[in-house]
Amino acid sequence: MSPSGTPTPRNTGTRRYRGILRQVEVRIRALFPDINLANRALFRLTDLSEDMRILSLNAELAAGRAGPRGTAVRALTQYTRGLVRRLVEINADASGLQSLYGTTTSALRTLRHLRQLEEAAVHVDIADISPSGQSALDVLERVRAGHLHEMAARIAGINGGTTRLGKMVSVVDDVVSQAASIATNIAAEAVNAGAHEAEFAAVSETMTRYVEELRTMNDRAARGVRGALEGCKALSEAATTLTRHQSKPAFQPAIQGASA
Amino acid sequence: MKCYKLFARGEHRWLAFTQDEHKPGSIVDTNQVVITTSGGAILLDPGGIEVFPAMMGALVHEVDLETIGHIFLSHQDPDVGSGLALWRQVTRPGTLVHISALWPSYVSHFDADTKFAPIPDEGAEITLGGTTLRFLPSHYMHSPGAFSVYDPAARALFSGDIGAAILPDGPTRDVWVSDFNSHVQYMSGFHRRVLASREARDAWVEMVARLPLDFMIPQHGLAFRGQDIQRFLDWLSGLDIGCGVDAYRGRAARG
Repeated sequence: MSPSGTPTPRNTGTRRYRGILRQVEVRIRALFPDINLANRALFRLTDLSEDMRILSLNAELAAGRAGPRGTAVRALTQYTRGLVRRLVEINADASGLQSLYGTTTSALRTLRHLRQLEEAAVHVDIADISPSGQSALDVLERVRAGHLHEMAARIAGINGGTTRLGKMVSVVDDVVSQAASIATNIAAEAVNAGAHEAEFAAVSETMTRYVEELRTMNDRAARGVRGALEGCKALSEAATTLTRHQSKPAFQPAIQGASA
Repeated sequence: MKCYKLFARGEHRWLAFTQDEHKPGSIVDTNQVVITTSGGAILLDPGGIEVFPAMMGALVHEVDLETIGHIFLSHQDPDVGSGLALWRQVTRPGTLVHISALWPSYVSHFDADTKFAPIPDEGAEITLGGTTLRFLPSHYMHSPGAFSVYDPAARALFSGDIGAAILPDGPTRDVWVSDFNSHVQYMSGFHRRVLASREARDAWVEMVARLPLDFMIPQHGLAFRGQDIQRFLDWLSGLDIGCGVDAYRGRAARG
């Protein structure tokens, strides 16, 4: 009997399988802090892209009022709106981040079921090696195979979700760098804008503030994504070991071990 | 987990699976009951996900999984049915889960793929191989949507949480109450706190008093037989229930 009250499996195959399940669970749980970090960091993305959109509209109005002196600024604000569109597009992908939570928690639930099925097999093995016990083990084996298949899909989903998160961060990084350059150019235009200098300078300063906020946000998200990607690598290794068990019955050796 | 044979006449049997020595210490012990007939078996309150492994191990010793076509949940609590997702997968496809019509969408949080057969408030009957089982209303005892299971042929009642006892950890004991008076201490606190409606209590007692009964088993604790059934009904009738209401006069409620 183990300290938790669970019966101890009588064969090493079952004990190894139990260890692999535990390892996969540890790896999945380890992903949460990094996913949370990225999620919290990207939370402001919607507001920031809306702020940038409004700023670009105001800047365009100011450029219109400046006439020929505002021509370059108008062009720059159009680039800004292009950047905003990219942010909005990737923000739609942020819903994928929510599904990443869903997939991760579903994977934990599947693992829990796998653990209970494995424990049930140990109980059946201890209780009975009769034909009805054998048939119950066959049922457990079938259900376990289904869960392992589901588990493989969930882990692929976690990997895919984390990779998409990485792409989001890389798009934001690109937007940050281009928006910073636009802010600098608007500041340069402001110098030669005469009566409109103050207005363009204010646009440039506000844009610079948004860019800084975006950069800070994205750096934090990138830290989370880096951690999550590393975690996914470790999870995939553990999952490969688990998948190897997919092709061979885990519960049948329990009988052979017991009857030997 | 132990299996007690409460009734047996040919293939018609009442089996109680209980006193699980493998369960984590933090969870309450539960009685899982299986009624077998010549036309299949029904699992009553199969229990939480924590007891699934031990229950499965004990069950297959007595019952072929393929024969289980029905599962009954007396109410919506997790100790009654949080193992539902696993039971659905190890029993035969199309197994029906009977529960009060109040709960399918809530209990689906345990398993969204379960196929429910909602029981209307007034109750229902099912027949398994010539054995008729009646789902009797037990609403507000304690759940607002609860049922007991009556088997007229076996003269037996599964009463869900009614008659439940929280027994102290200890050595192996029988499944039957042997000394009703000393057993009261294990039922009293539970019933005083979880039952809230005197009207429902009186109606349930009146309904059960009319049934020809040889034994009654709750979801927790020991089963009652013979004269102890009437002793239990008399005790329940006179019990001061709804003691949680006292809390409204407490410091937190007064602000």
